[in-house]
Amino acid sequence: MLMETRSNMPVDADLPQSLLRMIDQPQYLLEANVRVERSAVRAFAAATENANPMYWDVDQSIAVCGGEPAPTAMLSAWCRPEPWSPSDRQSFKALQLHYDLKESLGYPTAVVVDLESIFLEPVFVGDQLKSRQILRSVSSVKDTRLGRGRFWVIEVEYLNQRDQRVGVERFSCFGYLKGDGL
Amino acid sequence: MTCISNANNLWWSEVNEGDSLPCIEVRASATAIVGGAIASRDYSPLHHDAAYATKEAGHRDIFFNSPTLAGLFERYLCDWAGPLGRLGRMRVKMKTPVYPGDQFTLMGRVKRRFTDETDCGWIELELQMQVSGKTVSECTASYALALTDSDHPWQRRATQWQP
Repeated sequence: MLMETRSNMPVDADLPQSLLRMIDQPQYLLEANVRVERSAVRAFAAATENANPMYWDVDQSIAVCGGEPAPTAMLSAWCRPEPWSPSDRQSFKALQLHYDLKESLGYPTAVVVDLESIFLEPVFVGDQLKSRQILRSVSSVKDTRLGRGRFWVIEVEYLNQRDQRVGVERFSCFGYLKGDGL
Repeated sequence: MTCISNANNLWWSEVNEGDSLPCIEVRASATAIVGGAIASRDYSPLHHDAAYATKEAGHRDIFFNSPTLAGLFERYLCDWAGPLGRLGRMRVKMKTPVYPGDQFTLMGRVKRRFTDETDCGWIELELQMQVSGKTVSECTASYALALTDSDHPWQRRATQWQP
């Protein structure tokens, strides 16, 4: 049996209540430990040979955009932790909900099958972002070439220091049990 | 330094459905792969440690991470349309890694042109990255272009920006 959620995505109503309660509920708030930096923006623009003057000329970018924008492709970068810190305080992964679903549904393997990014308010040098993870949908059981399992959609929302949404990453995933003859 | 006001900006009305974008060719370097990964704060050894990438993970070498691949498509769109263009949506599918020394070609075509309810001018594009004629990455993008001198996508905020 399928039910509809606030986000109008179908959800299998036969799922455990603990999972159904997670639908559309923001979780795992993560505040970036760095601000959006001009040096990183320029390093990224250099790596991609991007001559866009928005990334190289402060006066012009402010005149046109009202700030120095970061490349949209860097959206997820600003909330990533350092590879080491003296106080390893973060107790969850960047896409922790994905791992939660794998575990609670009993799927040893899960893959990201599609990723769509939506870019909302511009991200400017000096902004400090935060992210949160939202489960949007879980399908009924499906058989695929990989095996028998369920599809789920997780959105990672990014917000700036004014709580404006600057972007959304929508991960479509498939968790499954490898099976013979499927 | 290019002056934005004098740059070769493409207007929404100049684009037609079915248009092909000019191809560009770029050679991937280890420097660009490592630089893009570290700038995007991606410290996976797959993108900077050749010994790990080859011996542990079975790859030919280190390769571009996803944000840098997306950034290459973003750069391609900017090369095509000029700096007033603004990306609203992007979906990137990596099929085969791009390694140092690979000469890759970026190409694309206009799938659809429309304006939304806020009169923002949108172009939907299908883009590809190819190495030796083989598609290694695909991208679909929704890109906003300036309609007039006085209304360009970067000035839009909140309800006036609906990607």
